[in-house]
Amino acid sequence: MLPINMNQPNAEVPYGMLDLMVLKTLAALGPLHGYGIARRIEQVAQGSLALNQGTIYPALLRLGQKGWLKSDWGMSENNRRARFYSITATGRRHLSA
Amino acid sequence: MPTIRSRLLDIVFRGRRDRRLADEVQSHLEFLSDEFMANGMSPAEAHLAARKSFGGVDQMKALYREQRGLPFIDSISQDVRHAVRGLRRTPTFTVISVVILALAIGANVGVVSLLNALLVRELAVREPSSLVQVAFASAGETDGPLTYTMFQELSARQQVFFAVLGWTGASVRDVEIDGTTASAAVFSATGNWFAELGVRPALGRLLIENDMSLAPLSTERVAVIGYRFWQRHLLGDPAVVGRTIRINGVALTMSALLSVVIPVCDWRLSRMSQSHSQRSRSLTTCL
Repeated sequence: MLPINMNQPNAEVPYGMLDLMVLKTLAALGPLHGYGIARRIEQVAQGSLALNQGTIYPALLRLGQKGWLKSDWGMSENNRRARFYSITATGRRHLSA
Repeated sequence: MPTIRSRLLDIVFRGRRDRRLADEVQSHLEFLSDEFMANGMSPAEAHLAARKSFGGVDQMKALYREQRGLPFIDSISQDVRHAVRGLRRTPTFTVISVVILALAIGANVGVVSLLNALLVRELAVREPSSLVQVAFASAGETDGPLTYTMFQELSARQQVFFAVLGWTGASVRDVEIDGTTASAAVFSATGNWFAELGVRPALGRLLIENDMSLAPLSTERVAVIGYRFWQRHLLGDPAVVGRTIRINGVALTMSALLSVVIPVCDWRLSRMSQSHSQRSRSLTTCL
């Protein structure tokens, strides 16, 4: 059990790991909103990761700033308006590298 | 580079982006609540569980803000706001400080402007860099004036300068206008003075060559009035041209008004000897 608390601001927090997981999720599942990405990461980690779901947003911001993903408004399954994130070509290139 | 651009944009659109994040967080929490309620929790429990699953919202927002925008500028603006609030709370101190600072800054600006006008800035005349001073060097002084005869010789025979202007040093004289006396700084100049310097009058006509002629004697002695003198002693009279001014008892007709203050009382220009100033037919006031 490896609880990674992303709320700690510095050093030993593996930002890179969360970013990578987000990218992989988007590459595999296509455009998703924040909640969907977080849920999926939790599922895939299968309990070896105690994720504070909110920490996904700084990660999404980072990735957006690097140009590895873009975002747009969309409709969720239960007709709720949400922001959907999708991976960009640059992001895909980074993943395969 | 894209990151920096994004951060700068974030500063500009801060309000909008803050709202967007808040909306997203709210939406995310609602998704979580829905999920927990679907699993059988009551709305209150689901709400709590959602918050727990999400983690600390404010901490996340702080992290987010750090990532976004330029934290340097953010912290500065925060400090500025805090300082302003503090200053508002102690109005007396603030007012006194502002007054002292204003006085000090004003004094400095005044001194620098004065130095600038006197020493650094160019003369407000045409082609100031083409002006040179011709002086008389003798054993006693190297910067002496020329006599009128010297000046005439120079004008007639020199082949170097485009034009030769002459003037006497300014001195303060008693002037009288319609019975009222005042003091003014006065100097004489050659007829080509204003023409060569490219100065235009606001009213009337400036000196011309003929004003200096001794044969035939020019019938009218003319004076050119400076702007500030006009405002102060002539009360800005628009009909000033044609009125009489007495300088040291000698009557002259005021022929023109200068629109700008030109620092003609300047040691940088050629001078005629003082003793011949009475000979000259034109008189100028300068301010």
